[in-house]
Amino acid sequence: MHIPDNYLSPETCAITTAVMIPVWAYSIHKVKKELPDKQIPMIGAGAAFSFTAMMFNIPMPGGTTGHAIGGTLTAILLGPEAACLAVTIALFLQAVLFGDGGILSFGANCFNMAFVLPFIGYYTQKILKRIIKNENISIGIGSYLGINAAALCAAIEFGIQPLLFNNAYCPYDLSVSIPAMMIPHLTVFGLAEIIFTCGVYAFIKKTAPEITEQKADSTPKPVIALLVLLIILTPLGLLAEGTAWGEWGIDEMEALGYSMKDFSFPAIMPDYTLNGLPDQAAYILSAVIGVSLCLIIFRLFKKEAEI
Amino acid sequence: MTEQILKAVSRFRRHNGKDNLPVHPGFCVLLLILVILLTAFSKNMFFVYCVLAIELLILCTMKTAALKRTVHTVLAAAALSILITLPAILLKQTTLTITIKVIVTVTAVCILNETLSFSSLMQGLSFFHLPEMFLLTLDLTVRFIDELASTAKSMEEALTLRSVGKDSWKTAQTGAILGTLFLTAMKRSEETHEAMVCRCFDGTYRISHKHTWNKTDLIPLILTIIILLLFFILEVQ
Repeated sequence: MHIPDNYLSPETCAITTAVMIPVWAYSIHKVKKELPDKQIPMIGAGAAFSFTAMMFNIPMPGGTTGHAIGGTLTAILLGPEAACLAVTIALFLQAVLFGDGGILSFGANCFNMAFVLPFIGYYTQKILKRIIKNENISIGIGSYLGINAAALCAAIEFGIQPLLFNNAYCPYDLSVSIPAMMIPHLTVFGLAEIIFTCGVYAFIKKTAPEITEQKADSTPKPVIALLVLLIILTPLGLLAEGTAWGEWGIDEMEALGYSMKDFSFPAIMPDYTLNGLPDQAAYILSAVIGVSLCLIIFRLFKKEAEI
Repeated sequence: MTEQILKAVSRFRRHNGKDNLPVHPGFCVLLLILVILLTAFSKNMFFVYCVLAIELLILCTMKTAALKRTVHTVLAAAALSILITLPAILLKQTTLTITIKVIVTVTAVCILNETLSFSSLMQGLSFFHLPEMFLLTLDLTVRFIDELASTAKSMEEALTLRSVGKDSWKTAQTGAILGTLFLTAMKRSEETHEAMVCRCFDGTYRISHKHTWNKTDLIPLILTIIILLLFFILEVQ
């Protein structure tokens, strides 16, 4: 679902970024106002979970791949506004350091994964919680609807490009983009999001209930242990070969016979790899750097007396 | 200006003689030197990223105030490095390699600064059998900077209180402050020397090695082994 550069017109990118600016401002205001200061580092843990979740690529028939996002998990634990900031930071690190998702399309990616996904996921599970007594079912449905709503938004953004901009950008219209994005998300990736969200939530509730009760002072040890385990397991994401639908590079599009405008940002470790090194090692290294940065960035916003 | 100097020097006083982690200072200094040297020698960015990943993990375990200080320093160093290499980057003569190496080395220095007190740092330097005169001069210099910065700040405050608003003569008095500061430094150094002689100073600078072995000493040792192994596997082979 990470839309690279050149797939969306600058106009689409500008509009989605313009929509995100008040969302970010509202989220920052709300987090500052409502979330206790000691809870702010927990947003970093949420961003770290989201970052690792997006590294577990799942193969699909036809050679494409996809992944869970984990935005609903942070939204349930800390609120949708905190989740918006957490996923935004995870997406920013992915785009700048690893070239996963574009720089121009950063606003569009944030709109889909940092705004639509956590807000729809959170409010769906909140409404369902009143109707269904089983917490896991409401969380599962919330996360499933969240990721599918985000995928639908991405599909619409892709699909309107040939209608508005004469094949200068994404060449597939709505009749192709919607089924191509929605079928995998309604089946495999939606299921992956349910498993990730419910699994991690159940683990946190059992081992660190202070987080679900919003009383955690710092990231508890079981959560750190789970993050370490996820980092070690990230090379499993490399088992899925191929590129997710809509995330092809310029070279792959040219091989399909499409010519696209070429704006590229030189990422430090493009596609989580380094030349001449085993992909597994580079993948684990990327996960360590990404997770550490997620944890550090949000700790910088915590107020603490100078020592 | 004096405030900035005071802020920088206050870092040396911050630990109050206590280390944030009771590790062997000699091993820590050795690890720092290794990180700086091997990062400079490395041609393979994978080694540099591995060191960066280790440093980021250490930063995650640090206290928030120490983390903020480190990040501010590292960002300033990175910004300066980008500014210097910007023409080369724009001409595509170089990439961000230099900046990343600067980030790695400055982070290593900051972590050491936040982990050890100044006296432990001196102990760590003595581990390498550096000349006594060098260590004595370094120790006295740091202590004097703190003293003189406070004196300069007092003189500047006295000057500011004499009038309101911007006066050109205030700027002109900077030379007078510096001159007075120099004379004060000379006077203080004589007093310090006399005080040291009175307390049986015979020119020998003694550093007591009271550090007792504990489990935390293994941290810098293990990190040293990991970094050396990584370097030989990735760079030498």
